[in-house]
Amino acid sequence: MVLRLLGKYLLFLFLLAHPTYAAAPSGGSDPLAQIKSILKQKGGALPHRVVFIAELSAARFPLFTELDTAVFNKLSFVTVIEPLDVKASILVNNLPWPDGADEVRLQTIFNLLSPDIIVVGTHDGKPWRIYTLVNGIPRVIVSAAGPYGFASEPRILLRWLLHALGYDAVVTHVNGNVVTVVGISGDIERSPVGRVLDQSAGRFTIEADVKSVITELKLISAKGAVGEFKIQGLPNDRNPIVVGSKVVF
Amino acid sequence: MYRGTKNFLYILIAVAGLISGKAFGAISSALHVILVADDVQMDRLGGSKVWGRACKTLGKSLSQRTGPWGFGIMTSYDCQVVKAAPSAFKDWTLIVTATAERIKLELYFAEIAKPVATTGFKPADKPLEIMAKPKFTSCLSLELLEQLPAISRLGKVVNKGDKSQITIKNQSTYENLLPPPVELLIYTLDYDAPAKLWRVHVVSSAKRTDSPTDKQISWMLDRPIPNGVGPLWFHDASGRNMHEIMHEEVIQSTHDQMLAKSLAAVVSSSVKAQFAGGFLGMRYGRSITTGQLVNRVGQLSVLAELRGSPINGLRLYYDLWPEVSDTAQLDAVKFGASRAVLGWSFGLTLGGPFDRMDFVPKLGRWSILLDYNVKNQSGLIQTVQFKTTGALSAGLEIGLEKDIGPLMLRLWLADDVGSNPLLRTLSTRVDDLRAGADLWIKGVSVNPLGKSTNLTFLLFGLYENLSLRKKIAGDSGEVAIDALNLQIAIVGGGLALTW
Repeated sequence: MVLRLLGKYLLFLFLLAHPTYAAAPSGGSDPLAQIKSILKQKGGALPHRVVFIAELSAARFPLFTELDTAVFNKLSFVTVIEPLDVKASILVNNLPWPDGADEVRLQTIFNLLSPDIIVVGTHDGKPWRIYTLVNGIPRVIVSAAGPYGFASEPRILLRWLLHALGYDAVVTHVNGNVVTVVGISGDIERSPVGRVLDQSAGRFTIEADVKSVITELKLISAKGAVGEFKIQGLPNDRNPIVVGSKVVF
Repeated sequence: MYRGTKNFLYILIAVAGLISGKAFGAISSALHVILVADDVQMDRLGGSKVWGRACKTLGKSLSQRTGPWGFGIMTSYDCQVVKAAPSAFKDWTLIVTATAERIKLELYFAEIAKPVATTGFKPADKPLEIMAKPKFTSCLSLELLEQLPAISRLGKVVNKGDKSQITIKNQSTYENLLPPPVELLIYTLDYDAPAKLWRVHVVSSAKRTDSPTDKQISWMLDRPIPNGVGPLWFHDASGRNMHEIMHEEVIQSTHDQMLAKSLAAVVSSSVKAQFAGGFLGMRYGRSITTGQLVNRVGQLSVLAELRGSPINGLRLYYDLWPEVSDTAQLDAVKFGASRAVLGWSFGLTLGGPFDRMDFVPKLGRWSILLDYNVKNQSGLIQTVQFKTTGALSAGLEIGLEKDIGPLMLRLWLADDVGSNPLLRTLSTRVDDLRAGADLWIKGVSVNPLGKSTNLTFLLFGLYENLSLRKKIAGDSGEVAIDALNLQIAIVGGGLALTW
C-alpha cells in the first residue's frame, strides 16, 4: 500500500516536472489513432507521416500543397505533417532554406521532421515524385502523373498517393481467418473483395509487375476507414498475412 | 504480484525522470550567469557589488514575464564569478567576458558546444554599472532572446468565447527597444541531442492586437491551445535573429546615450553639490532699454543664499540703482533706488524639463527717487517727483532651476509691492513686476579658508516694470494720483563664491 502510494506520488511529481510527456498523444478512444499507433510500431514500410510540397525551390521555405490537413488525417492511417511545423522547424533551427539541388532541400526536411515520404507535386505538368530516404539519402521511389482532379481535395490526393504506392489498404490485425484492414474512409465499404499482396509488409511501393496475391479477402463489415474481412483461403496451413501487409481492391 | 510489479515500474520511471531532469528532451529553464574576471578586472569593471546588481538585472531580463516586453524563457537564475571560462555547461549558461574593446555575452545551452546566442557592446569605464540598468540590459536580452529557439515561454492563455488570446503585461516602456513581434508561432519544443536539432510542433499562431506602447500587449490566437499540451514556447513568426543588425545599433546607441546621461548626471550632481551649501555673489548690469533716462540705468546687486542647514532657504539681496540723470525739456531728470530684501525659499524637486522649483516670499525696504517730465491731463509738461525712503515691501518670487552639465539655469518671476505706511498720503507706492533668467557657470575651485569653494560666473538678464504711484493734493484741494511706469531691461554678469 505504502509502496503504491509512493510510486503514484513520484509519478505525479514526474508528470508535473515533464508536462510534455504528460501530454504525449495516446490515441485515446479514437480507433483510427489507435490503428495509426499500431501501424507505427508494427506496420513496416508505410507512409505514416507525409509532407506534400508544391514547390521545392521557393525562397526561404517550400510552398506546400493547399490541403485541409485535419480532414486528410481522418481519412486513413496516413498523417500529413502540418506545413507550419515544417516552417517552424526551419525557423527554430535557424536553418537557411538551402540553394542548390532538390535533394539538399529534401534532406533538410527529412532531418527536421522525419517524414516517411515527401511528395513533390508541382503544377507544371511534370510527373509528381515521391521521395523516401534510402541509406539516409532522399531517393525517388515513384514518379507518376499527378492526381486527376482537384489536388487540394484530401480524398483525391490520398487515393492518388496509395495508388501511386501500389495498394489501397493495409492489414492492421490478424485473428484466425479474420483480418482488420485500414484504407480510405468510405472506400472500404464499397470494396467487397480485397487481395493481400505477398511479401508486401516491408516494401514502400508495390510495382504492378511484381504484385503477387496470397489470398482474397471478403468484406464482413466496415466502419470509416476500417473494415473486417474474412480470409478466403490460404496456401498450405501457414498464414503469411502480417500487420502491414498491403491490400488491393 | 502484478500490482507489486506495476508499483515498482511507477517508481522506476518517476525516479529516473526526476533524477535525470532531461528525460524526453524537456528544456531546462534555469540560468547560470557567470562573469569571467580576476580581481583586477573586477575592479576595472565596477566591483563585485555592482556585478551583483548587473547579474540580477540580466537574470530578470531573460526571465519569463520580467524580460523585454514581458518575454523570457528562464524561471530561475544564479550568479557566479570565475577566473577562467568554464568548458562545460549545464542548463542555460550566460558567460560574460570583458576586454578593453568589448563586453561579450554568450548564452550556452547545456547540450550544444557553441553559444546559442551572443551579444555585446563597446564598453566605457566600469561597464557593469550600465549593465545594472534595466533600460540597457533589456536591449541586450532582447537580442539574446531573439536568437534562441524561443523568445519566451508561453504563460496564461485567456479564452474569451471562441477566441483565445495571450496577454503580457508590458514590462518595457523603453523607447529604444525594438517593437514586439506582430505575429507569433506557438509550439512545443524539445532538443534532440543526437540529431542536434530542435524538435518543434506548432499548436497555434497569433497576431498582435495592441500597440506596443500599451501597458499590456495582446496577441489573438488563430486556434485554441489543445488541452494538456505544454509547456509551450513562442517566437516571432518571421524567425530567429531577424533584427541582428538593428539590435547591434540599438544596443550601442542606448549604451552611448545612457553613458552621456550618466556623465551629465555626474557633472550635474557636482553642480548641485556646488550650490549645496550656498553662495555669495555680486553682479552688475546695464540697461539695454532705449528712452530718456532709462537708457542710463545700471544695477549693482549683492546676493546671498544659504541652501544648507541650519538656515536652509535664507536669501538676502541688496540691489542698488546708482543715481543717474539726464537733461529734459523742463529740468534735469534723475533716477536712483535701492532695495534690501530678505527672503525664504521653499523648494521642491521636479521631474521633466526642470529639476527644481522654488517659492520665495520676501520682505524688504525700498528707497527710490525719480524726477521725471510727464504730460498732465491739460497736455502741459511738468516735472513730477516720486520719492520714498524706507518703504516696506512684500513680494513673492517663483523660480525654476535646471542643471545642464556645468551650468545651472534659473528662470524666475517676481512681484514686490512697497509703500511707506508712515507717509501714506504723500509717499510713493512702488509695484515692481519683473522676470529674468540667471545662468551660473561653474568656474575654478578655490580654498580660501581650507573649505572647498568654487568661483562661479554669473550671467543674467531681466525685465523690470516699475510702477510708481503717489497721491498729491490738487489745485482745489482734492486728492489726485500721479502714476508712472518705467520699463527697464538689464543684462549683466558677475561673480559668486559657492560652497
